[in-house]
Amino acid sequence: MGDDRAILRENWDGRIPVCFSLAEDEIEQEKPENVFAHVPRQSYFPLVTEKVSKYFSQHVDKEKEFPESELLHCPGREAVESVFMSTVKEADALKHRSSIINSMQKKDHKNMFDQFWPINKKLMENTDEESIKYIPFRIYQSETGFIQKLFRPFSEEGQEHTLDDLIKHVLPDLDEDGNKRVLIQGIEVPGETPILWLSEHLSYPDNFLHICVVNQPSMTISDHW
Amino acid sequence: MSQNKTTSEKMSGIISKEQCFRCFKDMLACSDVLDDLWEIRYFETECYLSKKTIINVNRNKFQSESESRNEVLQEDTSLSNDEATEMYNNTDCQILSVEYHVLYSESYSVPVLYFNCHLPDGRLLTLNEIWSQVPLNYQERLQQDRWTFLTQVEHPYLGRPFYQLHPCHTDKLMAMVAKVPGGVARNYVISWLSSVGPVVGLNLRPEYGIPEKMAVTKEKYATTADGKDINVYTLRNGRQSEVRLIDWGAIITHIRVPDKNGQIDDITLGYDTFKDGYDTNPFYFGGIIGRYTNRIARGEFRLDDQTYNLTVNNGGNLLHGGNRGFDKRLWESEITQDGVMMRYTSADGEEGFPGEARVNVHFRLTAENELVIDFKATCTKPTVINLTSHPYFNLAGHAAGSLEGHTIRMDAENYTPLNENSIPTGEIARVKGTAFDLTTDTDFAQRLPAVPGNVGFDHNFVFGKPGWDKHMARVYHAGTGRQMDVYSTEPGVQVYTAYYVDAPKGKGGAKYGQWSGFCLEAQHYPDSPNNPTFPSTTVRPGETYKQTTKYAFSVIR
Repeated sequence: MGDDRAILRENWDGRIPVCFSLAEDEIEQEKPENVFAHVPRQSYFPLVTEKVSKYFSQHVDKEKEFPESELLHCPGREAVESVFMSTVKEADALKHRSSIINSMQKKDHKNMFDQFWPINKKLMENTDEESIKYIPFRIYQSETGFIQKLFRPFSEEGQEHTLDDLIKHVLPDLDEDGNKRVLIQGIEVPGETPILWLSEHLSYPDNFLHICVVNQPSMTISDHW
Repeated sequence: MSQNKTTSEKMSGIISKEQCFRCFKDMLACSDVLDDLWEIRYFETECYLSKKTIINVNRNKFQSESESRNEVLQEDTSLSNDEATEMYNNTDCQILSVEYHVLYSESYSVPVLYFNCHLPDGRLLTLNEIWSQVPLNYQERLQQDRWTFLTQVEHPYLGRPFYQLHPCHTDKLMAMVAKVPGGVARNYVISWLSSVGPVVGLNLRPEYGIPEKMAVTKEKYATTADGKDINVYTLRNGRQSEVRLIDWGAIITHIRVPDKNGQIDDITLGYDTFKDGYDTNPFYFGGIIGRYTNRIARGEFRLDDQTYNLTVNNGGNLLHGGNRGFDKRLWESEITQDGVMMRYTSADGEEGFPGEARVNVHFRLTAENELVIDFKATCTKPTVINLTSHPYFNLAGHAAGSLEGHTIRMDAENYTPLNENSIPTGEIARVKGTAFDLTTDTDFAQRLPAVPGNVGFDHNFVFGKPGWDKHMARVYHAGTGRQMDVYSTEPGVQVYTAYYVDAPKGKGGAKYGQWSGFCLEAQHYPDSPNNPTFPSTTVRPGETYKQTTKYAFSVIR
């Protein structure tokens, strides 16, 4: 487990500024004011947007035409917990062939959602006997679903794989002349960072590295700034 | 299809991506035959199965989310448009359109079932509504794990919401299934889907479980001297093995089986054409021997105070049914649901035998590479019947020419010693300490010079009472890894090592000479009609002669 506890702490407390605005075609009368919130990075929208939903729902008739071909239904907290646990299990399947999650008691599974750290410590373990098999990660680019592939933390020769290695493996055609930025937890991580370290320190609570590949803002915009 | 899985994979219940994709294609082949509407789709290099269908459920049950009556989702593949419309208008029925996808999960190394269920107006069912449709018995069992078992997720390829049966327990389920003999029905994916599918209304038809069906084809082979058709039947089991039979003599002309490298060879001696040798068949290659196989002393026996004189055709005795035994007769034949049935009626007095005997012999090639032969016979008068099958084997390939490299083990502790006329003395003798002791693995070729008489083996080994299905012998060829196990309900087995064979016109130009093959003919003992202490070969009207002999082929790597 990483000794870089400061980094874990920073992540855990990480937040993203978000602006919520009502879609044009939902507006009945006046357009309501936008809502700004500092949302915890390590959480899920349905858990933190209750007040936002309540506020906007005053301005629409009812929730019509939920875009169910695009969004997962969220009937309640349990749905979020379900997605979370499902992802945690998948991460353990990738890392340890599910050996750790299966050896945990059911109550640990249930408590993980609330008392995260003590239980997560087990999942983050990288013991000498059973090193991590595959790194759990998902890569998000706009307009497509996420990409998830099998990727080992070490090469056949025993060399540590880096973030650059992972990106090259998954997105071999990525624009090489620097038009794309690779972001994890909101940070542009140096490409030579070992992927195993990233998995131990910058994973989200569901034990996955969620990596965003976004377009570099164009030079003209930054000129204006 | 062959399960090329490593032992550890099988034990842990997981499956490789390649194996899973092969299972998908195999399942698709079944589906095409059954018109079950599964399709294979591709996403980049990944393939997956998909099926869209309509189901109808009880509308009342459906609308109430809390209560659910004891009804199961029924899949109605027979619905035509009219029927569907009628059902839609019927207020008791609720039509749902369902889409099932089966994907391979690299994270879990197992297949995963995804599905969506829509109302006719396009609305997706909610998770609770889906739960209300799950059969009651599953609901009870899964209630505690509700939120972990059935969840809504993002489809890994299509990126849109789908419901998923969580894969985290699939490996345990399949490891358990693999422990049960015959537990895996046809392939891993079909087995798994037939177990978990019913939870969400997907009930695979039982036909999916049938091992790749044996294919049997029939063609014209030749014509007899008096102008009748001889047909050849090819039995394939979809696992690389093939057996060919002709209805002349009910002769097995080819047995093609793989070696340890998957190389397939014909391992039985025979001819390329009818005229090359099957018409006279001097060495009885592959035939069904009867009405009495092996010898009857002086061609004579007594039954019910009557003496019968049969054809004497070999060394002063009757051998293998006479001048024209069953292997030189044209049989009737037909394809059955799992093989080929051959029938012959042996006339009253044929070769001197009393009574009209009706004989059925059924040949079947199983998915496990076993050639199973079932014999039945009845007679209009008291008679004697002793039938066997007579293929000559060479596990190195029919043309190998010798028994080098073959190892034999016979589970018999006794044999019937012969007199100078090749007829059993009547004694049952122990094999221990003699050249006939094959109870441990024995180099076949090297044992031959030690057998008394200098003609190799041509002896009957004794197991005892008839009607008991038992393992009789195992022959193994190390070079090819081929192994043959013989099982039979017969009390004895004749071991013959081809001393007298001289067939220069064998298949594919092969020349079969002395020691070029071996026979294991499950039978009643020779000359039983003249030996009241031997198991009886008498068959009276109203009785049925029955026996089953099985040749099981395998490879040892």
